[in-house]
Amino acid sequence: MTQEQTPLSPEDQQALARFFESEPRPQIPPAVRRSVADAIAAEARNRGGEQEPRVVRVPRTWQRSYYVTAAASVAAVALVGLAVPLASDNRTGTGTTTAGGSVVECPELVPAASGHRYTEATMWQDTEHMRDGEGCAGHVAEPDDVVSSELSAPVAEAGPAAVRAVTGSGSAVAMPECVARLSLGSRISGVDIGSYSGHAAVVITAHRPEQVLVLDCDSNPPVVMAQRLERSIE
Amino acid sequence: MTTDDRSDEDLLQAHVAGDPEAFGLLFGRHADRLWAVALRTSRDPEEAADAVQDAMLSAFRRAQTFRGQSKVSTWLHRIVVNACLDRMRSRRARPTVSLPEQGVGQTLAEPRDLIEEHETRLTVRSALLQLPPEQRAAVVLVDLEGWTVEGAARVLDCPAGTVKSRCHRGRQRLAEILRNRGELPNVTEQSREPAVGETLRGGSA
Repeated sequence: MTQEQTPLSPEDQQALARFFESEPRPQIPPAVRRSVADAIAAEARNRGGEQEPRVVRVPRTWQRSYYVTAAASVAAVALVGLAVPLASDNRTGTGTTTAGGSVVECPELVPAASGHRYTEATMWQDTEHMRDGEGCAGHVAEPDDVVSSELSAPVAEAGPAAVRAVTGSGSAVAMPECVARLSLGSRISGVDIGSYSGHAAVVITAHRPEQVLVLDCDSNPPVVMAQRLERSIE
Repeated sequence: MTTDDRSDEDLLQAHVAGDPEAFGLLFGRHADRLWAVALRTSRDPEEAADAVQDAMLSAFRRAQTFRGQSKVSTWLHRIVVNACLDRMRSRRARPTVSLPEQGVGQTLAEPRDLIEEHETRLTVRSALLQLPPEQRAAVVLVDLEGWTVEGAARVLDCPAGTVKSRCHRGRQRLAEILRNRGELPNVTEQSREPAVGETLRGGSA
C-alpha cells in the first residue's frame, strides 16, 4: 500500500458530511418492493410444489456437469430432425434443465408451430452470471438491454426484448449461441442446457409473464421446439 | 406490512422450516434499508432493483446455510452488497441516473424541480461512482447508512481495518472530486481525520 494516508481537514470533513446529507435515504419504490415480493412468493410456491417450474436443489456440482455434458453430447445428433415432428402434433412434453444448479422441470409445454423462429439477438447475457452455477437467474429483459448494433428495426418496433444465451461455462461444455425473444419486462429465472421430452435442448424460463421456451440450438437460426406462454411474444 | 412480532432470526428459522410467508415478512421489514444500500452502491435504479431481487432469491434459497454468527439483517445486507459488487464487476461502467417515473394520474412535478432534484442526485451518485466498488460500498455503509466500522466489516466480510482504509481513501477521493467541482475550498490546512471507529455521520448498525 503506497497510497498516502493524508488526513482530511475539518473543512473537508464538514463538506463531506453536508455532501452525504444532501441525499436523504431513498425508500424502495413500490414497484420494486412488489416485484421482489412477487418473486419471493413465487419461489415459496415453487418450493411447495404448487406451481411450475418446480425447483429442487442439486447437491453436487458434478451432477450439473454430468447433465450438461450428457445433454451436449447427444445434442448434435438428436435435435436436427426434431423440430418439425414436434411441431406437427399437439402432445405436451416436459422440459428439464439444471439452471442455477437446480433441477427445473417445466411440464405441459406445447410444441411450437412449425417454422416458429427467433432470429434477432438484442441482449447479451454474459457468462459471468453463469459462474458458480448461478445461471442467468434474475435478469430482466428490458429496453435498456437492447444493443442497437444487433437490433433489427422490426424487432425494435415490435417491442419485445430478447435474450441471447451462450450456454455452458465452468465445467459445462460450450454450446452454440441460441436466441430467443421474451416479453419485455419478464424476469429470466433460468437459461441452461436441459432436455425436452428426453432430447437435449436449451430451456429458458421466465416469469411475469410466465414463459418457458425450449430451443433447438442446433438449427441456425435456432428453432423453438416447445413453449408455454402466458402472453404472446409475437 | 410487517406487523409480525417474531424476531428476524425467528422468521428465518420459520422460513427454513417451511413457513411460506416468513421470508416475505423478513424482506418487507428490511426492504428500505436494503434498497438504499443497493441504490447507492449500484450505478442506477435498475441495477439496484435487479441486485436486490437476485440477493433476496439467493438468501431465500440459502437460508439454511445461515449459521447465526451475525444478525440476520447483516447477513441480508452482505448478500445485497455482494450482488451489487458482482453486477458491477461483470458489467461495463455506464453511469446514468434515471429521472423518476410518473404514474398515470400522478401530479406532475414542475420540470424545474425535477431537474434540480436530478442534478443533486447526479452529483452525489456520480461522485460515488468514481470510487472503486469496494471503496464505494464501504463509504455507503459507514458514511451514508450509518453502520459502524465493525458492522460494515461484517457486511463486507473483511477486517475492520480494511473498512477504515477503504473509507479513508474513499473520503479523500470524494473530497478531491468536490474540490475539483468548486464545491470545496482549496484548503491547504490539514487536520486530523475522524478517529478510529468515528464516522462522519455517526450512527450505528
